[in-house]
Amino acid sequence: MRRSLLILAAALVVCTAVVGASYFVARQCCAHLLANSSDDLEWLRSEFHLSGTELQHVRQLHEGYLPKCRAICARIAVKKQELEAEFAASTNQVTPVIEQTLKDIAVLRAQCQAQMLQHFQEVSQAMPPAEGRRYLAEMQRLTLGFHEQFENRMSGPAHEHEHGHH
Amino acid sequence: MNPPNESLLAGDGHLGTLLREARPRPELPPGFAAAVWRRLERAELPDEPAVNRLDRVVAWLLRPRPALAGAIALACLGASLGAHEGVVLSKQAAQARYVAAVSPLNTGP
Repeated sequence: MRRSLLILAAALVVCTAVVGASYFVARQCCAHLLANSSDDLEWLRSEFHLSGTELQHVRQLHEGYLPKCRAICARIAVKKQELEAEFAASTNQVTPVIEQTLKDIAVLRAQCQAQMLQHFQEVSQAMPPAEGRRYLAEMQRLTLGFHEQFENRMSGPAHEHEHGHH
Repeated sequence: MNPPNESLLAGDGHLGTLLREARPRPELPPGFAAAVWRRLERAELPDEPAVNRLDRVVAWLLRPRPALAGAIALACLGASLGAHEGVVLSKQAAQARYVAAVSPLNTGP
């Protein structure tokens, strides 16, 4: 009886090891093979079932959008450097220059988001209608959803309660 | 004392044969009697102790064919689960790559 139980326990360990090892190896191989593409648009092609022509059109839009996006990002980076310099120069005070720089950064971020949404609209129109709608919803969730969650958290009752204590 | 009609039947052999032929018995399947005897013998055997059953299961599991079949089945199960997870991971990575390309504000620290 005892010997049989020992054998059963050993068999259980071996089974777990076999399942675990095969799971790990297959997961790594699949993830490595499928993620090997260096194309940023690979996800669009597979997720939204784009044909060659549609992908080509989307690629043109994507390549047209990237320089505009980089330009705004560069302007934001410059403003952030200015802000850091102002912070370093001021002595624990929010000066009017700092306020103005913060407003400039906010305006640039808003421009960046508006441009991004415009790009999503254009890309969605280059897809079949149903896939385009799905793409738009997914991109809004992925890019704007983060900010909405953050704002909801900040304006929620728990946060008001925290503010009440301060 | 037999009723009058039964005594009449017993006396008449020809009539009895005719009546038996009029109510034919169904044919038994082949090996029916042997199967009945086997079931009777099994029913008379004492219950096998749980220890013996466990030993028998372990002995069966240790035979090469069931052990190999089990190992292959488990490896296939693990590999298919892992492959599914790998596909999901690669999809997530590709999605993150695209989102980072089009929305750098979202991905920065």
